[in-house]
Amino acid sequence: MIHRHPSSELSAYHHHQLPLEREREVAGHLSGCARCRAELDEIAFAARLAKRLPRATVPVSLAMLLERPLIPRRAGQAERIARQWLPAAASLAAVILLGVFWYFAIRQPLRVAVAASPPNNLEQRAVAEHVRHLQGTLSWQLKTGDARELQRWLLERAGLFAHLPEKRPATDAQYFRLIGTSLLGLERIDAAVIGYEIDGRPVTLVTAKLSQVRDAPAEARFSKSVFYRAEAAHGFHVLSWSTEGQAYVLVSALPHYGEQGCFLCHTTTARRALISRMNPR
Amino acid sequence: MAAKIAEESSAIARPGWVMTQGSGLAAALPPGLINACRKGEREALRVLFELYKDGVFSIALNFSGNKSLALDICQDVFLKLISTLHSLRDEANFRPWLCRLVVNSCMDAHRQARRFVAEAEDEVKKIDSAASPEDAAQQQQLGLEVRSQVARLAPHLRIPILLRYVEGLSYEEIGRVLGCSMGTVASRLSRSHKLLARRLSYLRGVI
Repeated sequence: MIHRHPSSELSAYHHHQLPLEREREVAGHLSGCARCRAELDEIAFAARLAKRLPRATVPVSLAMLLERPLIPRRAGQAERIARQWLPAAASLAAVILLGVFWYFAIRQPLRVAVAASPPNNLEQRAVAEHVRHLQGTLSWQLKTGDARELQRWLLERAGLFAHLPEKRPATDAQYFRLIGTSLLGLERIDAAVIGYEIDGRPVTLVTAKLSQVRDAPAEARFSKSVFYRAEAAHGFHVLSWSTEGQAYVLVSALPHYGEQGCFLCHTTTARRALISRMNPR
Repeated sequence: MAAKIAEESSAIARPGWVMTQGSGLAAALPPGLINACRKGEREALRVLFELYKDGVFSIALNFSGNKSLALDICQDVFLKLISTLHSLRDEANFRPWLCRLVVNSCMDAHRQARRFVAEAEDEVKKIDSAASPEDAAQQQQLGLEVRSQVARLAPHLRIPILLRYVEGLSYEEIGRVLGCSMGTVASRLSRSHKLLARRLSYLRGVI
């Protein structure tokens, strides 16, 4: 028999949630306590009421509203793939756009710089050949004004390629004349000399395989780098560059820095204008 | 009627998932559902929502007495559920874990709203104690009246009542959900019962 009113335990007693022994003790107390019996009656009444608490269902329309933000929409396979690859594709497109912008707007397609290093063997030989060209002592193994024939001859004999356009602008006929070509025995290097005239001024172009030339200018990937040297002994303009596995040296006494010599291969107006604008620095 | 709808909705078979027995938060989890939800499988998330939406909504509505607030709580519960499902280590603890989420969301909503307007949407009429208790409309009205009085209890007294009568949890389970002892649960339930009995004493002739 317990003497303290078990008010706080009456709910648990009603729901049979008390340990058995405690339940018996509370039952014993209740049999002799009208106040606690009245409280228990209140609890039983409230429990009957609470059982009437309505269970609710989410209305269908509201369920859809609830569900929409919770459950991710099923993406189609194409959409999933697109979503998966979209960042990569966007990055690639951005890189391509940047590349295109750089290529056309920023890149310098041609740079002409004053050579800082001493002349290499190909340059020295080109100057010597130009002197012979001027003196008329250079014997041409192939004497021709036909660019295609000269190109084929060089390719077959020395494996060297000359970028000579087949058709030249009509205005070239007034001042441009191709003379011929010869192979050069240059320290076991496969080299060739091409002679031509611009406005009656001799121009000498010497070319050799890049791998065989010591200290040749390096090939530039996205822009052409040309090195200029003012030859002291004769006052020649010497231009040297490398492209597509060949080293080139151009010697002339043409005006400015001898850039008109490049017009042998560069025949478009835009390219010639660009070449003319350059200044060796 | 509501119970019938609940039964029907729990009997809906979704492709790939077999709805199991039980209703409200006591609905049993189909095997593998939690793992599929963790992987973000849409169908699994939909089944989970279908299974527990009414149970969550019932507690939220009886707690707040306000339908729109109950929907907000419901949405909050499911958002938390989806985002924190990875933290549930043992699937056997899913029910108390979900109950805790519901209780926390209810308490958060209560703190934000400070004061719920009980039964703002449903018109609660005083029941005529002389009318027949068998009257369906009267029964429905009785339920709404009880809900309105429950919604006026202090939250710490209201929650145990809802877990006991809406979810049918034992005192021990309620204690585990609320993080308190069985004695505390018993004490709170005794107080809430007495308050309810006094506030609804005029219904003594009805039930």
